[in-house]
Amino acid sequence: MLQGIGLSKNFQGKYVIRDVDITVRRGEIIGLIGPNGSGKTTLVRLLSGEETPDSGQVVLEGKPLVAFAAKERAQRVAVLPQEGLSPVAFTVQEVVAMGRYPHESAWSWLERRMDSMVETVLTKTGLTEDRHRPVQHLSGGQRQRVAIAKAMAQEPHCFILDEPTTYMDIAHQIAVLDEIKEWQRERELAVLVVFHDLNLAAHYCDRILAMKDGRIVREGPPDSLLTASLIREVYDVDAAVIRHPVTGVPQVLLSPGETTVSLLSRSRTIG
Amino acid sequence: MNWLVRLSWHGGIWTGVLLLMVMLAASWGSADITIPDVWRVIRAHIWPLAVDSGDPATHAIIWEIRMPRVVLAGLVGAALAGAGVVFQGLLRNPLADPYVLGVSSGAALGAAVAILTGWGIAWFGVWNTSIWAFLAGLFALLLVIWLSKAAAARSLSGSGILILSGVVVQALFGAMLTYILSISEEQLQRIQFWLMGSLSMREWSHSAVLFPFLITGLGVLWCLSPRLNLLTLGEREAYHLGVPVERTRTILLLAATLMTGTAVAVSGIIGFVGLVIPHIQRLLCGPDHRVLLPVSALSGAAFLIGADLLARVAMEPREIPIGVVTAFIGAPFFAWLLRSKSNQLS
Repeated sequence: MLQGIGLSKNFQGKYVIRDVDITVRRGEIIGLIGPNGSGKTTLVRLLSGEETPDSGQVVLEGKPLVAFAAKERAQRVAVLPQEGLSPVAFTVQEVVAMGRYPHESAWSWLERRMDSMVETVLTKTGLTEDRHRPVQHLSGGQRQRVAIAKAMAQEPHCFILDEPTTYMDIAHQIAVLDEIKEWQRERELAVLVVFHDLNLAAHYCDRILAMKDGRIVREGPPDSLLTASLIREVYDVDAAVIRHPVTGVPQVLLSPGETTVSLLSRSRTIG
Repeated sequence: MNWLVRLSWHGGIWTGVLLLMVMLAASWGSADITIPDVWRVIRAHIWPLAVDSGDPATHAIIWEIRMPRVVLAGLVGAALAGAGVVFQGLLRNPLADPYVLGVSSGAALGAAVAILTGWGIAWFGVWNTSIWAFLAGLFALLLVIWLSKAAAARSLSGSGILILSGVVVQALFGAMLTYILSISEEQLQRIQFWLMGSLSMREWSHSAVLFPFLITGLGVLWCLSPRLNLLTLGEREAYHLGVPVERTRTILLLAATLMTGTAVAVSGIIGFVGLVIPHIQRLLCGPDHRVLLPVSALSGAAFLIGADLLARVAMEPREIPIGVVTAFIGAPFFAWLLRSKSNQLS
C-alpha cells in the first residue's frame, strides 16, 4: 500500500530521519509514537510527498510516489496536518466539497447535480445541520471533524493523521477517533496516525511503531509492545503499565516528579 | 450548483450598476448632456444598424472625450480589484492589495523609467510602458515576499510582517519614483499624475493597451479560482488535495501583477481599490473565488468610474487626482479593518 524504503532526511547536516523502513498495509491502523523531535512529523511529510527524502524512496501501490500526478496522488492519500483546518469563511459544506477536488475534471462544474458523495459524508459525520455555517465560527473540535469529513469525501485508500486529537477535550478525542476507526473498517483503509497519547494509541492501533532520534526502534502490536521497558527506552521515563480493567488493553501510568532532571537536559538538546 | 446561481445574481446586479455608472459618468460634466444622449451615442457605436441622429458636437464630447476616460477608469478598476482578490486569497492576508504590497509603486517606477528614457520602445512599441511596469511591479512583489519570509524565518510571524515589508518596499520605490520625476523635465502635473493617479487626458489607445492584458489576466485567474479556493485553506492542505501548489501560486501572482502593472502604466498609482472592493464583495457574495473574482472586477470598475467622476466634478473646474479620492475612502476602511480583524493579524 504505502511504503517507505530506507528513508533518510537531514536538515543542516543533521539527520532527522535515518534509514527508516515503514509499511502501511490495507485495513490496518498504525500508530507512530515517540518523543518530540524524534522525527515523527518529518516521516509523515516524507510519506505524504510533502518533502522528498535525501535517500530512499516512498512507494504507493507499487509505484514511486513521485511518479503520481498531483490529483492522482490526492485520490489515494489524504492527510490531516497537525495544525488543523484554518478558520476560513467557507461553509462546512463548501469545505467538504473541496475534498472532491481530486476527483473533479476541469469541466465537472458543468454537471448540474451536486456530487452525492458530499451529501453522504455530511450525513455520516453528523454535520448536516451545520452544513451552512462558516468554518471560522466553529470550535476547534468541530473544525477537526469538518477536516475529517473533507478527507472522507476525498475517498482515499490511505489516510495519514498527524496528532489529530491535540487541543481536544476527551469527549471529542474519543468521538473523532471512533469515527476514523469506523470509516477505516468500512473501507479497509490503510491509516497512519501520529499519537502523543500512548493510552489512546493502545486502544485504536493494530500496530505501533516507536521512534527515537530519527529511527524506528521498536515495532509491534500494542499488547506486546507497550511495556515499561519500552517507555524507559524511548521516552526516558519510568512508568507503570497495567491492563485496562474492561478492555484488557495495556495502559500507561506515569509517576511524576522522578524524571524532571533527565527531561530538562534532553529538551535543551532539542531546542 | 450553488455558486453559478450566486454568480448570475451578483454578476447581473453589478453589471447593471456598472452600466448605470457609465451612463451617469458620461453625461455628467460642464457640457449639458443627458443620459439618453449617452445611450444614443453608445448604441450607434456598438450596434451596427443604429445611427446617431443627434448633434455632432455632443457626439464628439461623449465619444471622444468622456467615454475614453470612463472606459479606462472601468478597466483600471476591474484590474486593481481583481488583483486585490488574488493577493488577499493567495497570501491569506486581509490587508493585502496591490497598493499596500508596493506592487503599484514598483510598477509606477518601471513605467516612469520607460517613459522618460524610452528604453525598449523599439522592441515593444505601444506595449513598452506596460511591460516595464509589469516587470518592475513583479520585482517589488518578489522583494516583499522575500523580505517577509526572511522575517518569518526569524520567528517574526503573523501577516502583519507582509504589510510591513510592503510599506518598506513602497517607501523605497516611491522615493525613487519621486526622485526620477523631480530630476526630469516633465511638468509638475505629470509628477502628481504618477504619484496619486489620474485618468485625465486619456484616449482610446490607452484602453486598447490595457484591455488585452486585463482580459487575459482575469481569464487565467478565473480558470484557477477553484484552486485559489483550496489555497485559502493553506498551501499544505491544497497540496494534499492535489493542487500543484508552486505552479499555481506562480501563475496567480504573475497574472495579478500583470493586471496591476498594466493598469498602473496607464493611470499611475491608485490605491485601496484592491483592498476595499474584495472585502465588501466577500461580505456580499461569500468567499468563493469563482463568484468573488468576476463580481469584484465588475464592482471595482463601477467604483473607479464613480471615483473618477467625483475627482472630475467635485471641485470643478479643478480636478483632484483620483488616488486622493480612493485614499479618502480606502484609508479609513483600512483603519477599520485593522481594528476589527486585529485578532487575525497577530
